[in-house]
Amino acid sequence: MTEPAPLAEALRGRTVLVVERDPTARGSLAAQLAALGAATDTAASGPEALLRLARGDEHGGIGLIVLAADLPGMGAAGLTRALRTRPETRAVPVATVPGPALDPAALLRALDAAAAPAELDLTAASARLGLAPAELAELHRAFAPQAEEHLGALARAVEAGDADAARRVAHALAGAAGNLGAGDLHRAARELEHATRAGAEGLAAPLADVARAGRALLAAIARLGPAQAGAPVTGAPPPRAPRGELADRLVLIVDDVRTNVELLVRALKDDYRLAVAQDGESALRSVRAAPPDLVLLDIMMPGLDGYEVCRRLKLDSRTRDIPVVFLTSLDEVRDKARGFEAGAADYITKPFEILEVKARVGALLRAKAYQDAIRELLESELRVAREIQRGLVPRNFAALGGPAAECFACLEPARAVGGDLYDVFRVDDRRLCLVVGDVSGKGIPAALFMVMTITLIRSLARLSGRPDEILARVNDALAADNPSSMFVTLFCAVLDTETGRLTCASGGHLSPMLIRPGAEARPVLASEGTLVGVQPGLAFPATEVELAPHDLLVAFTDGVTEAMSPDGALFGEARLRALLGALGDVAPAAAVDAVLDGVRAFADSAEQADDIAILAVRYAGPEGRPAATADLVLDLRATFEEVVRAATAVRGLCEARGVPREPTDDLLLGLDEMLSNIVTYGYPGNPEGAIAVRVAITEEALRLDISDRAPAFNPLEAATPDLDAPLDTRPVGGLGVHLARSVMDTMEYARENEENRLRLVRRLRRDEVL
Amino acid sequence: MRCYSDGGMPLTVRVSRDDGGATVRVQPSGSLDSATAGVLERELAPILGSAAKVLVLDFAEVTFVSSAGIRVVLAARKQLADRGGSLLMANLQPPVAKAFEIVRAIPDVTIFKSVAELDAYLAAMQRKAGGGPPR
Repeated sequence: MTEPAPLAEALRGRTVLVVERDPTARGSLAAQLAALGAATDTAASGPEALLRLARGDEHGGIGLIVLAADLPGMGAAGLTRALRTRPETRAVPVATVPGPALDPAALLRALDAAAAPAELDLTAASARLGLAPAELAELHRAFAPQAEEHLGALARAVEAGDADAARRVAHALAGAAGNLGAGDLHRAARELEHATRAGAEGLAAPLADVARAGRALLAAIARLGPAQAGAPVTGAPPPRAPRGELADRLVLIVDDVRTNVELLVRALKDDYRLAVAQDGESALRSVRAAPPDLVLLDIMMPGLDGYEVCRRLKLDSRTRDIPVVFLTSLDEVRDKARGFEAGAADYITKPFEILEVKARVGALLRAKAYQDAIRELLESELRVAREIQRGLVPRNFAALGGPAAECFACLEPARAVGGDLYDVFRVDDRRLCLVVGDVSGKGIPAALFMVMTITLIRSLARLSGRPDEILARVNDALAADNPSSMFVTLFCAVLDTETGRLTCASGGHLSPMLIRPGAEARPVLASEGTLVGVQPGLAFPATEVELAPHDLLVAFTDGVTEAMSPDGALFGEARLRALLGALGDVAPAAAVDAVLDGVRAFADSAEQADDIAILAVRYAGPEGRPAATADLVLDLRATFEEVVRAATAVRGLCEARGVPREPTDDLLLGLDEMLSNIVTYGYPGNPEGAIAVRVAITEEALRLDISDRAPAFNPLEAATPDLDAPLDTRPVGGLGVHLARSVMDTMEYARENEENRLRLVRRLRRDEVL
Repeated sequence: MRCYSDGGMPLTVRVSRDDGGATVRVQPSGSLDSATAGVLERELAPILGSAAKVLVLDFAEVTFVSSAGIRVVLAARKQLADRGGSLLMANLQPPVAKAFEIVRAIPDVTIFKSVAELDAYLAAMQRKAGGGPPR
């Protein structure tokens, strides 16, 4: 019997399975092994031994099998063959003994042989990885220096008592070894990795196992011999363009262990374009530089781990939709759950079956390609829709307002298209219609309703130049057939560019702000009125405001006041008023930009939640004349009721201003004659015909301006009645113009911009002047 | 009494008959302009279609008149004249008188400064017609 010391050392910590039919011999062998320090287990037959081994690690791993040479039944040779065909028992050393006595030399031989396989078994691994054995051998050669490095690092970490470092290195080593099919090293490294969880103590034995398995693997790799000439060079596979329907897809592989990267590169390079990153930071850089279609992501990496990389990708709207597949040797359920919580699309554990990796990557990329195609279709349609919507609202502001009223506006949908709207158009040569609105909701439904609204306003504004009437008609039209129960808030105003008179009406819309240089910004309207499009038959009372030169009107939607900062605060009306009040006398474009900039600075990184529309108008004064001050402005329709309304208003004004009776009567006579002419002859049968009346009272004179858009007609050319003829023979009518001319000091007619314009002046100090 | 009103200046017209219907007194009140002239015209139509010989327009309460009002008056005068009747006007206020003067509708229309003067004239007319003094 040789010295027991080397065998005892080799057996320490191992469980030895004794397979012997005879109970006495079985007991004797077990006792001898126990005396050498081994744990023992026994089996009476070949099948019982296989059953025991199939239970696996349940009762501790079997480190050696001692087998009676005369085992009946399947026999010692049959059992050995069976053990060699099973992956879980292939590596377990087997020593055959002739009888009840141990043969220490045979046991040591069996242990050494198992620890140092004469040749690497590349067959199973190459099938699993989809690689030719030659290719796998090449990967093993490339792995050798990395493995040596890892083994050194592991020894230093255990020596330094650094359990965390030992765990990281052991994890990497286990993963790579497992993938390459180096089962012993994989198992030993995993054992060590698990042992580190209990701290730095007790790592010596598992480290010795790792070292032994590592040395055995390195020896086996050395026996593979040098790489064949012409074999592919590691890390630089021969360039071959990927093929197939997804050949243009880019897959980013992120793993800090080079062997894993190389395995994946070899597996995927024929099908996709590939990018590689070896840590979390460079993975994020790579994604920013060239967004991939899929990321294969290791979890345990130095620096940012895989969970964190995934979370960051999912936080960024630009990378949110890139599928992430975790590829890792962490295989506990809670690791997987954590991965899915971080936003993973799939989770594959190492050592992986390359066919499975390929299948899952392919499935995810096909799903992503489909999703991308749908999105591209939607986006291209939305781009066109956006252009159409932007083309609906006026952009050429210089031509619109003229010198009297500069305008500027912007439309900023939260999505590609939106429900906010603005409009600026001329009702006639003098009056400008201004509209800002906000359709309920966002996106395509709101955009469709917006288009309907803006079209209605334009066509209905042709029938009436009054904002209250425009809103009432738009409301009736929208409410009449509104199955989706959408609604719109509208601010509508008509600005008389000659007088500065602004007539406004609101359908549930926020009041615009009036900014008079040197004064605080203030809302124009006291109340918002009722939403448009819900209930027919509503009225939208008009409010009149006199704009002075340099007054700036800013209308907006709630996308401005309800813009939200990253911490959830609202921009609010107070902030808007402060911003506008501080502007001073600025051009409308500058005012709109200032509001937009203010909102964007406030919202900071927060996403724009609602559509934004802003419209600004600065009143410069009437075109081509000094700012005229009208004391009364009336927009009339062509009915006698309206004539009465005008007369009442003019008389009221004259009384209020203390104008004497006679000039007042003269003015009213001129008014009545001219208006009745227009109603009767200018707009016969058209009660909607528009007539504008302005009265100005100065110390010197009363001035009456009347304009209408009826066909050109100069009443001052009417034939002068023959007043010398006897009453019996002359016609009873045709006296009006003569009468008016007689009481007024001057009467002028002009046809300008398709309007009939009459100016009547009645001097107040007639006697003095005369 | 008819009243025309549309929130503006109304015109009301009172009609009374004397002398068995031969003399009709019409008292418009308010503004006689393009919007209200039609009211007076409608009130006068049955009178002009009757046998009334004398139409008295008492303008004491007419504050304003425009050519539309003047036209109604002149048309009534013409219709009456065609069948031998006559139109008398009384109590024209300054702005109303001014308008009638401008179109020279006055010289040929009999106008009285006051109701007393008009009454005296009417009494003389009736005597001339042979009916003797009233009452």
